Amino acid sequence: MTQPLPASTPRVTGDPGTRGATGSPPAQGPGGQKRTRRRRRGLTGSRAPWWFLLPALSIYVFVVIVPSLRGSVLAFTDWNGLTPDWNWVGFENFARIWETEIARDAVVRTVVIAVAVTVVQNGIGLLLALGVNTRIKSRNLLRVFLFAPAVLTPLVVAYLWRNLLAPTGAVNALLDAVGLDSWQRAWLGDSDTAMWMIVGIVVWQFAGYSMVIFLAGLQGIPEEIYEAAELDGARSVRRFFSIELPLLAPAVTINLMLSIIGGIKLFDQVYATTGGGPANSTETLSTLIYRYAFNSGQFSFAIAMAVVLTILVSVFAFAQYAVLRRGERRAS
Amino acid sequence: MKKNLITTTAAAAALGLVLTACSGGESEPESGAEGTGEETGGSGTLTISALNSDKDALEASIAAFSEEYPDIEVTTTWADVDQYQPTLRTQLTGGTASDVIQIWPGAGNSAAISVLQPAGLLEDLSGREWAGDVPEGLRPVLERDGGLYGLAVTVSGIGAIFNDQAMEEVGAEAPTTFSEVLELCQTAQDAGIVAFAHGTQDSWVGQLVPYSMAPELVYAEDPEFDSGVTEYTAPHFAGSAWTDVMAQHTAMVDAGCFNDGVGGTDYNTVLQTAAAGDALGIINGNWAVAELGNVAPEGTTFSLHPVPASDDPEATQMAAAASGTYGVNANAENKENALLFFDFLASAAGTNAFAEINAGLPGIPNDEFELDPALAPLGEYFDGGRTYPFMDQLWPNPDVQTALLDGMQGVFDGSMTTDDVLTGMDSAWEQGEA
Repeated sequence: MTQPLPASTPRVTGDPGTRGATGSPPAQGPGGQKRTRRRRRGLTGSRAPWWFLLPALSIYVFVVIVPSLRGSVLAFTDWNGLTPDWNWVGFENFARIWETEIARDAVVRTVVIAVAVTVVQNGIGLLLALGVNTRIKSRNLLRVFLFAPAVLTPLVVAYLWRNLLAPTGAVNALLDAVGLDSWQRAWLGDSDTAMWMIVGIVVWQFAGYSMVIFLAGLQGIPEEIYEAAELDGARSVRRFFSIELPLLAPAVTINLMLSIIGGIKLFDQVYATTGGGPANSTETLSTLIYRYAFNSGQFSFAIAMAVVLTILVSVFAFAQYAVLRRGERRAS
Repeated sequence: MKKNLITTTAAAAALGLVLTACSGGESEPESGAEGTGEETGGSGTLTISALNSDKDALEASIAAFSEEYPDIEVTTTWADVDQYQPTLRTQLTGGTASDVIQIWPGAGNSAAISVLQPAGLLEDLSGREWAGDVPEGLRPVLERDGGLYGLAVTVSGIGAIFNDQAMEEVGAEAPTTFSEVLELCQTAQDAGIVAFAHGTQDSWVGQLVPYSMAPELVYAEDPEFDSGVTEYTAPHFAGSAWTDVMAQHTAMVDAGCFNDGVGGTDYNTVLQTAAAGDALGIINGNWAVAELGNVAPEGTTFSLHPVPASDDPEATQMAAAASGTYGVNANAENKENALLFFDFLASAAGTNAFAEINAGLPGIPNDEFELDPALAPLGEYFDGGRTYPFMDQLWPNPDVQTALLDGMQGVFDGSMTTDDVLTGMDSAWEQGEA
């Protein structure tokens, strides 16, 4: 994982060659801008000719872009995944997504899960990062423990929690032991709680991952800034909102992007814990795509949902990126 | 407008290769031996793919086959059902499927005969010598358009599997009427346990209680309730005798026949609960007898009984249907060897080797087979014509069964009523044939 660099440092705010000795942009008239553009073009050309991209780009286009586009075409057909023929059906499959209650619910649920995971995971990740960024003696051990779940495969974590949350599992046993037996329930078998349990499982696994990214951002903040703040009398809350949070903007961008995309694509944890049940109450777009493609044999409908999923990921990712980058620029 | 799917098929073939790798099977042989079977007396190679759950049984048949045909090298690939079905479809469309494949009778899922045959992916077996011996009761789910497309090596049944020692401890006997079922539930509760361990977290388990009672309440009166319709219109299930099935199901729930937290209990926990004697038994297929034996303390025995759905013992029926079903890939590289294997599998030696391990009845009956005494009622009911196929095998598309499974989960977590379940099944029914 590449450590995100604080946006305020000269390293990430522009080409060093265009900066003045103090790090501020040089005053430029029209002529100066032209010189800078020429110089930029010259530097780019001398570093990496554009055709260096061709081998990787060709493979990417051949392996990812072309199959994806060709596959997307099938969303406009009635192909069942078996026969060699299909019929064009236009936007019928897309219309069916909104007409089919289970699919419509899955779209909404996918967004709710993604937002919930993003907010809670990053909130906890940030608090953990602030906690282990202090001078406490056990900080290194804590970092290892808190990050450990992130190195496990999602399936292992899902099966672990499936057992813990079973009616006869450890969670209910614990509630019983502390006198809260009235709270016991089939956590993954109850449509009121199953989805939130899955959100919890994802957060439990990946909060440490977010923590590491935030921690890298925190450790990139120069000590001098803290010292200056201390001299100015800033206390911890003021220091957090005026120094740490603005300088963590790149880390926030990365974390939010990763968690929103991961949340929208969520499959393993749902499939392993509830299989989309009970009564479809945890069905997400990803699990529904699998179900329609491979259990029902409705390939073209599944592909239409996959296209919607792709669009959803793209819209959320780009919108979020644009907003966060604006925030980063303001902060720097 | 019709378009050729060459590129898509190529992509599917590539995906198939990936999925094959994921399934953990053995590698494909480098060369085939097309048409070498009967001409050479059996030599070359043969590839078989099947479910992990059939592995031990099928390997016993393969071992016996290899003794008879030592020059045929058999390569096998095993997978769990969730991986197997999508992989099989991809391999069949990509032309990389094994010569012999496990399939499903009827139309109940995406790898069933009625789904694969219309695409021309299965070989017609009606010309084989043994084809005439297939019992009439199995033909509706194995035949299509006048051809025979599968061999059901065994017949399985659904019923109440009791822990004999647990039953003895509470002084109970297998019920013969529905009232006795409810009394058994009370007896179990008085002893501090439950009559039936049950869990629908693995959704397929949810169908078993309705399936155990529907033959008596629905199909005894009207055997062509599903198969006799010409147009798939609704309501079909709602308002029909299926409401009686659901009413009995509700009565069992209300009588405390099942454990708490059914919705969050998985299949393994169900088995362990019954094996440990914390429940008197389970309602499941006869295949679970062997699984219960694997997790039960030594000396524990189990027996399968029908689940009475009314108070007339003479009316009791069981769900029993083709299981362990195999077909020949129409584009098999070693088709002659595949057909040789099928001829052997249909013989008493091939079938019995399989059935003895899989705890089922032979799909093609023979005198040499000795039924496990624990499964005696299944044999009696099957021979006496008091069975009906698993309902999904005669439903027009896989979504009807899915609606039932989803619905039963909803019933146990309180988010759906039994009427909702039947309405959901009707919606899927209206979609017609897959």
